[in-house]
Amino acid sequence: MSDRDMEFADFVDAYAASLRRTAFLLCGDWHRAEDFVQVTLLKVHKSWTRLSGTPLGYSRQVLTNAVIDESRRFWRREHPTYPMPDAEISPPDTDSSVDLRRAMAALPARQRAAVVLRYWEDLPIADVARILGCAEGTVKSQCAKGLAALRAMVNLEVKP
Amino acid sequence: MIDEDTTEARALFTRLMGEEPPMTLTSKTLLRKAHRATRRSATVTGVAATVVAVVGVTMLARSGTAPEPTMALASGEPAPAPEVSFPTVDTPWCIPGAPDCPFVTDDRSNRLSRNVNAAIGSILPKGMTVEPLPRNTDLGQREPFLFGQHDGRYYGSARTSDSAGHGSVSINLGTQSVRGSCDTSPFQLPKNAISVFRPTGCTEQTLKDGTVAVVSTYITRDSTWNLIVVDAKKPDGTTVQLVSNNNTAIKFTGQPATIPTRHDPPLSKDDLLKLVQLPALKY
Repeated sequence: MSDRDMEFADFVDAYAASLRRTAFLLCGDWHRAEDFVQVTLLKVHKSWTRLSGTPLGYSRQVLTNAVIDESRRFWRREHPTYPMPDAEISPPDTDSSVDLRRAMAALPARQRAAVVLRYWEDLPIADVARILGCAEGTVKSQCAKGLAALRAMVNLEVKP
Repeated sequence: MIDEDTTEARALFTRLMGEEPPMTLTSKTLLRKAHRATRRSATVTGVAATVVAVVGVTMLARSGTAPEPTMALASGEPAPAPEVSFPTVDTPWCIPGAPDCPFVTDDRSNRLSRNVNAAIGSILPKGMTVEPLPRNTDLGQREPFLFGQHDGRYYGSARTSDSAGHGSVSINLGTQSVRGSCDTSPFQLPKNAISVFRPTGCTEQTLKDGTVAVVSTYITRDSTWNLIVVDAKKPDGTTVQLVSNNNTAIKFTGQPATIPTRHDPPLSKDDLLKLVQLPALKY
């Protein structure tokens, strides 16, 4: 095994599980999450020698773009299945994770990515903006809107 | 310090994830797949190179034969011009310099980006704007042109818009030879894209600054996709190919990525001739 492969294997062992969790939050399905991680890591391997610094940042970017690109395909286009706050609300599901999953699925892909990268990965707003290719102000507003929508849709108490 | 929003969001996400299934992906299987992909990629590249070479030789051989005489139809109308495979623009379909992008940045590309972005406004017709291609905007590009180098030539492209709709303009710059006249030089072999276009006109002219320019126009069979192409050699030896088209983006496949929103390309022939004379377009 070459040095490059050994370094890459160490990286995979260290971060694959974490990347899969992020992918799951972005796409909502563990099997697809693992597929996304595989695609991401294969791209990372291809660019390994050209990467400077930690490859984790690049991996996050590739992963996020892969999930967003996939969500744009027409057969994957997401349709909210959960009533919006101003609609007539039926009693919430007893299974809160199903409830949450619907709430996440109702968020636009980029908004979901902003929320996940900001709050789950705990990335600075500037890093999220770089990954998503938008302004920092956009990240702030997307995160605020996304979190507010999640709160509303899972019937959590909305903080002032 | 973790704020309340982060704490709350993390709690939500942790609930959402629930029981995490075991991971089936291992570094060993990934490495095996990565090596297999590398081998497959090398094979595909080899096959593609062979196909391109065969097509190229065929085209060059055809270009060397005497031109067929124009056939007159029964109605007296001349036969339509033969369709040609035209090298559509090798547009960076990624951010030049990004790890996966075949277009790299260097001092020259940075200088080109800086100078062209600064000068492009001087040749734009009133009411026209220039901005990054939508796809590149998604990837984080902010300036209209971001040049990248590939195979010794520099490429940059941007979306052009006015009240009539969108289009794009692409700049391909280097020192290699370009089409020098309307009827003697064969079309360059496309590297990535082959699309069938019908030539609708061609003129040759020497511009004020000494640039020799060949201006060609093309249209697709369904008459929806129009191109104006300027192949130019500047006095300093820089060769430039400019393409203005009425489609906002072109994929490597040569197929329109979007439906044209207007009939004519936003930048006209005269606009392109002004553009090619800009001192910013220097190798």
